[in-house]
Amino acid sequence: MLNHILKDLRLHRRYLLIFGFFYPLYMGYFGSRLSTPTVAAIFGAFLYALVPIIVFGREDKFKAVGFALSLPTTRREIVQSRYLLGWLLMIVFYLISSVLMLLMPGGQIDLGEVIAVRTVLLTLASMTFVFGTLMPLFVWFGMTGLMVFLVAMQVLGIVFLLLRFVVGRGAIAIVKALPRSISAAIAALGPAGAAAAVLAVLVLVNLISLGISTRVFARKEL
Amino acid sequence: MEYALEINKLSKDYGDFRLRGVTFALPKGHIMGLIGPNGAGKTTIIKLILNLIRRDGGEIRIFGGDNLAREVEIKSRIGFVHDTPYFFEHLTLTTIARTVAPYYPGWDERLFARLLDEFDLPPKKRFVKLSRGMKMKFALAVALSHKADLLILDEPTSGLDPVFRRDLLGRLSAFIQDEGKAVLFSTHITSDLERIADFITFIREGEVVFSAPKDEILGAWAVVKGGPELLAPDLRPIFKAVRKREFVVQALAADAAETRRRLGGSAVIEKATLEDIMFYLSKGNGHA
Repeated sequence: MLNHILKDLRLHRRYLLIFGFFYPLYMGYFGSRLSTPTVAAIFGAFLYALVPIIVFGREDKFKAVGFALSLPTTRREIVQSRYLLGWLLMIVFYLISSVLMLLMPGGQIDLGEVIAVRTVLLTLASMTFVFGTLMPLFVWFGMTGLMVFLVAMQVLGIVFLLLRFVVGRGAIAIVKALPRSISAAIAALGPAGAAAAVLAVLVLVNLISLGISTRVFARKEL
Repeated sequence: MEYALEINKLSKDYGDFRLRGVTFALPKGHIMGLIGPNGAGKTTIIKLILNLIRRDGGEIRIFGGDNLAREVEIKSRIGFVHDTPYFFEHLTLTTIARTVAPYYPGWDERLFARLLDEFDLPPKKRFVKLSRGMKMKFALAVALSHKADLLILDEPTSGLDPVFRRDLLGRLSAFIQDEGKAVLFSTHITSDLERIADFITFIREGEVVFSAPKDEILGAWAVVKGGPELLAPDLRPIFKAVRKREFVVQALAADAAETRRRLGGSAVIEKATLEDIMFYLSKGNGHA
């Protein structure tokens, strides 16, 4: 597993340095202009989840996956190492941008908001949603998986708009009721219990995503 | 006899192409040539050995172990040279080697440096800047540097100059002097196999036509040239393939002795080369 991670870091060193400079810098500036880190957390998570996908996509472009698979390794190990590296990159980028957000001149955000459990969990949840959904699609379709994801999001948006148009505001209320009831259930656990429950769900979602990606990659013909 | 590679009833269905019941075995200490026309299934077999594609049926055993059940252990004993080497193109040869080396417990850095030197490969050059022949040499240097026990070479000599081709063949012959090692060599250049191969496996349309010792094949198969009388129905069973020109009929026979006995001096009977066999079985009208 470590060999794969070192291989990917060596292989994509230049790209990672470029992404690692511009993305956190941009997010640091963007986040510092906001009065609350919520938007920055969601937007940043989306941006950072794209980094590992773009990086892995480069290897597909070189057709080097076939070579990687001819090395003494298994398909399972390759997928696992990509998840691990993906999360490492997202977390490192997030930490850098959070520091920059606080240090940026003229910033409106204070430290307490950035490191608040709610902000951290929201960021991790956003990353999990984007990365956890994108990875199986990427493993299945390659870079086209990114397009599939974006189109699916747009279709989902259109469906909600149509639903609102056809059913009226009642549809929105139904959609909003679900997260509200989940939030209420989580809140009943107390702050520490709620955080632990959310973290457990996020870990579970990532494991499900990893399981799907592993199965898809096991069937992939190179 | 101990085998480096055993393939038993291997099958793969692509819809428009099927590999059917492929069976052959490569004993340790030998070189096997895998021949066949384009699209016969040679690369598919190699991809199946390396688990780059999924098999639909059958079994692949390498050094006695299933290639999927003991994948990591088996791959660490295989050196692989693909017809189009896909390394990490923008890296230098040294960096690629540094990336690949940790995967192999037996990696020999000194041997690698020596091979780069012998193959005239500049260590600081990027892989993408190498010619096709140099890429092949580099792939071979990597394969030899981790002290593989089984070399799998897919069209390794295409694009190589004759000097290096001879050098490569010499190296392969030297490689199998260690009786625990073996080479599976897929190629269209059958003259290379006539020099070094011990066994030949001929694949056509996804099926093994024959898999036998090279000397046995070259001793038994013959090209027959004669007139239209060769088309006589009672002679057809002795021919594996027949090509008809305006006044001349050429045929391929799998049993030279039987053919001589049946035809006597009424036709010209010559020893068949591997290229003849591949040509007639691929292009001739007949049955194998």
